[in-house]
Amino acid sequence: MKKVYIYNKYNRFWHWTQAALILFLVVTGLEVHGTMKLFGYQNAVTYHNNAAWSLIVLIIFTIFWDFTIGEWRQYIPTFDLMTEQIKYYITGIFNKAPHPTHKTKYTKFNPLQRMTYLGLKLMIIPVMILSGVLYFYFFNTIHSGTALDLQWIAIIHTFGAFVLVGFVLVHIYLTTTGHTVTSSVEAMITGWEEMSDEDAKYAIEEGLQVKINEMKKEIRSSNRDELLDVALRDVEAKFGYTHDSNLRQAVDHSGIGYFKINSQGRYTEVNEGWLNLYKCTALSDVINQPIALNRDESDRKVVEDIFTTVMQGKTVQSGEVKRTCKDGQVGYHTFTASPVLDENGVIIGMEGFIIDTTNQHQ
Amino acid sequence: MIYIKCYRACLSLKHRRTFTPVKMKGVYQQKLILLKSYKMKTFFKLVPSLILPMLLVFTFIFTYKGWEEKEIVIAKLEKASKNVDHSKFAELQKPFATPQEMTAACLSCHNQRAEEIMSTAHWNWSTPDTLSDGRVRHIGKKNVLNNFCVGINTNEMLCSGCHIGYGYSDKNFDFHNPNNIDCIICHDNSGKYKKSKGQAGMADTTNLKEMAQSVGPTNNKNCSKCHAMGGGGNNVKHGDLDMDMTDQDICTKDIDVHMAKDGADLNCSQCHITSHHQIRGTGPMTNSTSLHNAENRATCTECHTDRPHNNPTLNDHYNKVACQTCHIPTYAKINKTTVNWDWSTTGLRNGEQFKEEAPDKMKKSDSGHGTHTYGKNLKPEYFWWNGKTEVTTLETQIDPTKVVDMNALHGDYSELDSKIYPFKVMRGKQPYDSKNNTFVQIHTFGPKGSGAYWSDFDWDKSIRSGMEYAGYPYSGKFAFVETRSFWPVNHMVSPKTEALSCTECHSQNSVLAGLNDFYLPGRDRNNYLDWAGKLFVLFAALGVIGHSILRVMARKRNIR
Repeated sequence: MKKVYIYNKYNRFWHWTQAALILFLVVTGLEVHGTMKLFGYQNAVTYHNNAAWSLIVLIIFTIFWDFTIGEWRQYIPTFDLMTEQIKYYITGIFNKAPHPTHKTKYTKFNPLQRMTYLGLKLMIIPVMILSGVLYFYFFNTIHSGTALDLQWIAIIHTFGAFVLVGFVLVHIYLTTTGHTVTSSVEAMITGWEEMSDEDAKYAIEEGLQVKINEMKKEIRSSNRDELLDVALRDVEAKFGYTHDSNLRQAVDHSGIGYFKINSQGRYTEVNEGWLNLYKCTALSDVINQPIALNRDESDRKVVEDIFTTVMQGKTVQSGEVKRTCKDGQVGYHTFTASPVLDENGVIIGMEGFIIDTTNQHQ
Repeated sequence: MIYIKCYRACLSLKHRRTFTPVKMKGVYQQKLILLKSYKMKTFFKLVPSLILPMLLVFTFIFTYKGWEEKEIVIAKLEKASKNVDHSKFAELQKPFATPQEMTAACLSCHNQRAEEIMSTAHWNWSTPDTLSDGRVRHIGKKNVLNNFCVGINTNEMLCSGCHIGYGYSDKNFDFHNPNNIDCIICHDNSGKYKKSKGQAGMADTTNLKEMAQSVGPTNNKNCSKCHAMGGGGNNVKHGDLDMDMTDQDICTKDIDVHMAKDGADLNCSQCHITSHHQIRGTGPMTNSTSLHNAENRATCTECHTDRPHNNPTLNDHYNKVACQTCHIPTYAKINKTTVNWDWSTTGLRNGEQFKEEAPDKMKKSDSGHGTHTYGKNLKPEYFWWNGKTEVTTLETQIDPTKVVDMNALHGDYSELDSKIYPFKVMRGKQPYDSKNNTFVQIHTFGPKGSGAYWSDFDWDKSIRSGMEYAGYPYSGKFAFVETRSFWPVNHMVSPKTEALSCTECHSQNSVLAGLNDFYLPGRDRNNYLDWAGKLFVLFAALGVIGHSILRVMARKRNIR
């Protein structure tokens, strides 16, 4: 015997609030109908109206929730296992037969429930709300242009009420057909449903399967590079340690500048050290800028030659070159430049390091 | 794929005790929760998701009373700080020999007012009434019949004791002589003015100078003198207009919230707004299908608006229910009112006049008037009404096999401008021409030998005299027919705590039991649907019970 998490918080809040409101509406509605006396007629009418507005708000929220979270799929009607489910209630339940369907977070309802709840959501509740609103605004709607009276609205509204009362009776009774008599009610309160080991295993496995499927879908639809980065970062976070973070730190501390240029000759990545050497303050000053940024006529030619060479697949290790910083000062450095390859071996850019030699030059 | 691999790597770490889960989306968290050993959540863990929202929702349901908060406007007209002191006027210093001389003195200053007065119903006892086919007829006290004293023709000497003129003794009265206007009857502020009984409205001439000097704005006593005393006694006619309502010691808020000193303390004319001597408010007895008359009413909504409650559902009732219906649960709260006048029990017994009175004084008979039945603290009867009535005159053909309505009410549920109004229903039995099937004018008041019934006690002579005078044919045969007339109850508005409660209409023993041309929640239901619904719920319950019994039995069998 295991307990499995089936109903989340909103699910439980919505279910019990709706249940309480419907029962309250039935009681006050019967008083308005003249069947019983409890709150006093005027209070009964006021409470009935207030409860109805509360229920409408709750239902609107829940429809929104159904669609955002995908819960609406729970209500897709199906005839799969329908006969088995009916047979279970007629014979199987008396012979200790297992439930023909499994209850999981993703398929909470058996085929009978799917049909019934869909009927409630699409037929009874809209009819009740519509007839109720017409009842409430009778003098602003039906009676304002014609002399029709309340009778048919009242009849439809009362009919719906009887259907709901019957539903509630059977619904409450069927909660006792779970693993134990109270397991379904307890699950609706706490979220955790008690199940046989087999059912629990199924529920857990399905839960995992669904999540994995979702993940696969997500992977298929998203950028691989990004995903890899995310995955790596996640793993790093879990381990609290990465290999390249040491290397990166070492490079950063040394003041060596790192740069990466794409095939269009534009900067795609530079590190802290590079920014310091070029006296730049923000990455945005550099990223996506052409390689010839901040260089005079002669320097530009040198740099463009190097870029062309590298893009042909050669690694360049240069001696000293001149650089013009952002504030106009002149500095010198030595550098390396090597091609960047993608997984198919095609050159997609250039990367390298620069080491400052301004002091030696003087 | 790499991503999945990474996750698998992470998942494999779950065995490590030092590992602390970081909130991540997806599989990993789910797995952890699933494998976590289950603990029953405590009550407090349910508070934020279940109990708190439920408390909030039901607090709203039980406390929210509606979103209409409208200020109730009580119009309280500013009373003039000081009235003109008529005792200082030179014109009023001389003694007046006749009341007409006094009126001439009034009109010497108020020189355009006579024309206004002479166009009012108060003066003419008749107003033009446009029928639905466009014809205009004149109706009013002059020719409309009721089921109290029936009509004024031949009886003007007595009836015109309430006319705002002097000497309206017969149909030849000069309605164009301004000096015949009785200004004092409405404007006397001394409370001492009297018209002599049976003298065609002539004033008691003993102290006309003092009367003339004491005039001022109209007050409740001026109006009530006629409107409360109509029908021959205090409150007997309307039932909601009582002379004692002008008495500050008797009229409390419980009697009438508007006129009581501890209530709004209003004057008649503060609701019955008057302009150029035309007073707002037309009685339904003398009113007909005329739009002008039906619209000339003083209404509650002028002060209170048509949505005065802060509960929208209560306000919606105004579409179909008049304010008076709920807010005047009882009338005739101080003195009794006549509810039945049976003229057929009149006549001499063994040649002698008789007079009988029940010990509780609620029933009275005599030779001249027949039998009066009274009621006190009465509950109104309720009818649909759109403000228009069908009045009865000597021309009206009646169906004597049924109870005849003297002022049949127009309107029913299906008419959008009809509302449910409370009425005092006056019932009676009065003579009619049994051959021509018309009502007859009876001559009641007059000297012996004139044919007046109260002197001669002979119906045939009385009717003959009345019909001849009025100019209508009389076949010579008469009988008595049962009648009803409807008197809308508009005054004696109770404090709001006394108003009809919902269930007085919305229940099986509804006070509106007679009005069944519409669906009234709480009173009406579709019996087929109710039975079908009850059966459905019953079958559901039986199914549940049967199924559970079978389950219990099966379980016992399985255990064995």
